[in-house]
Amino acid sequence: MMVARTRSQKRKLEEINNQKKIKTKKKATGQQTSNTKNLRDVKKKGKQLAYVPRTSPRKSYKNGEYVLAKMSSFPWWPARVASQKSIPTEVRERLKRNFRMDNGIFVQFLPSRDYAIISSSNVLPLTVDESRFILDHDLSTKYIQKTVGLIIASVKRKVSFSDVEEDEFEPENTRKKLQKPIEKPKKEKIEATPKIDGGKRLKNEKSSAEISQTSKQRPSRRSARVRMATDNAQKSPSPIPSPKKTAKKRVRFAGSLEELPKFSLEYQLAQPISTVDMYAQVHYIRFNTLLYYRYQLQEILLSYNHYPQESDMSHVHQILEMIENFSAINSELLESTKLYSLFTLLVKLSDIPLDEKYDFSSRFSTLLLQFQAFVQPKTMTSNVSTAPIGKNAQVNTEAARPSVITT
Amino acid sequence: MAQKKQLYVFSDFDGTITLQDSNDYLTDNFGMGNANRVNLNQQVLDGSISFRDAFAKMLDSVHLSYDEALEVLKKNVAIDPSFKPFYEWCKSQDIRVIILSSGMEPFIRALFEQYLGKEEASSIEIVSNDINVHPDGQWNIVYHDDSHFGHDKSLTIRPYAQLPESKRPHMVYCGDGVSDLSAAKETEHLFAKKGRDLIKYCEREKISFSEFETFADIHKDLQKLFFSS
Repeated sequence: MMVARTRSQKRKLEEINNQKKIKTKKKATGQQTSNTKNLRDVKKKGKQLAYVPRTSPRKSYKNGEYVLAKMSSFPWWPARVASQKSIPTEVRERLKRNFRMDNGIFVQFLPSRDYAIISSSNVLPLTVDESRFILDHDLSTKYIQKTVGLIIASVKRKVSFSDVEEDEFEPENTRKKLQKPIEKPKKEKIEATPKIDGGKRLKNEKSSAEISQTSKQRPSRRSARVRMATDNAQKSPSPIPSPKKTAKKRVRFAGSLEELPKFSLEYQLAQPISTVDMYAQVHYIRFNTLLYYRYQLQEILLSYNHYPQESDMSHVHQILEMIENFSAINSELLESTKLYSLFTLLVKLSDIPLDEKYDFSSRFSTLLLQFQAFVQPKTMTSNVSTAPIGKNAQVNTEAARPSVITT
Repeated sequence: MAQKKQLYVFSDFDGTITLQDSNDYLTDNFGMGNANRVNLNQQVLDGSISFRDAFAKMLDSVHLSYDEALEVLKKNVAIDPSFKPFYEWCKSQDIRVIILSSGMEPFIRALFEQYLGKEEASSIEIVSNDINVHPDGQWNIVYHDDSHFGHDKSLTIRPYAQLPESKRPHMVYCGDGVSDLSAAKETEHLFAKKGRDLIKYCEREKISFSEFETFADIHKDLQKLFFSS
């Protein structure tokens, strides 16, 4: 078995050397080192080979690009390349302390979103073809296969991994769409190849050739790989946190089933003013307007230390005119502004300057009669009870006024 | 120190606890529509129709039966999720919560039922307008009092405010609009909804207030004000 492996490796190396002289040397050395490391690990552990990605390593990766990363005691795990800025400073500093080499690549493992610095030799690109290969041949644990399936969906839809992950818990229609790539027959794969770029076509051809070779020569290895995958699923600690995440997502789904309306603070603040509050605003303005009129009349006509002058009467006329034209007077406004009480005192005034010109006395009486229609009988009785006090007060004022006039 | 006086929390409902005004929601979506409602509001402003009559017309235009209206409100009117833990805390601290609303009591209880549970919904104190359900399922509003508003919220608070200082409880009001201004003046502390009109009028009237976004903020502030010692 060992001899056969080395022969196949030699053939690959010869093909690469024939194609490109200079680059093949570098690639050959890289593959040799990676393969030898893997062989050494196998010898030490005494286990059969687990899944090894077929993609070739690169010198550099773009931020957000999907990769397969290898950590000790873990299988090749799907991840994406992360920029240093996106990593929290504390996490970044802690990772840098533990990793002292220069060839480290910042990656974020999926779906756990854990960050790590992995040496470039243990990072390989995760292409769509490689993802399909993983799913078709059950080369990893179910947990990893699920994640790889989501990666395929995100690449196809050109959306982020998080969006695809959230959509997984939507109704069944979207679930069926996600399952379609896995269920596609071989013929559909052949039809799909023309859409892929030329370089990818070559890779597909190689992959199909390799599949045929493996199927013919070593049928028992597939069963062995399946066993290894199941063993890894049982032993690997990474699936442990998954039940919590799935539970949380199920809670979200359950919430959507109840169909309770969602509360949004922004939406609440953006609501238009309600009918009740609209009227309350108008009532507020009316109240303050009538209150202003009341204070003006009271100050001019009923102040103890101020006798009304002819120069004030034009202002009194204007105020009365506005009260007479005021619309929508109601009992609440009259009670709150005490306007009714004011006019019960005003009608009892005598010797108002320029009364002949502006006809104040009759206007006071007319307005009082109009207000009485809004005032309730209780308040009328209360006002009647206060009438003697008002009369006494007016008598005092009348007595005071003649003395002022005589002097 | 133990709390000597009991604490009363008065709260508006529509727009303060709920996402939107439930009365206007019914009128706009299942009644005369937004345009006609705005036109009727203009008639109220002109003084050609009173608010009581206009508001009754709006609600009478809703063509849903009582049960249908309940279902519609339950499906579309959301409640602040932080109100439930706030209410539970109030019960544990023997704080009396009283809902003052211009809406209708059966609809308010129905909304509370799916957020607080049946027991809490049936026991929570609500002072609001009522409805009269006819045998055919149709309904109409029954106003709380004879005021021009239909429900003068200050009438509920004033009896407590007029008590002597030794017997007067601590009173707090939570609201969002100008219709809450008269009630807010009767209480010793006001929580005004951030970003809504009540704040502007409080500043104009020089009424002290605290801003809140959700009932979680009120919960924290009450703990500081009345339970910190």
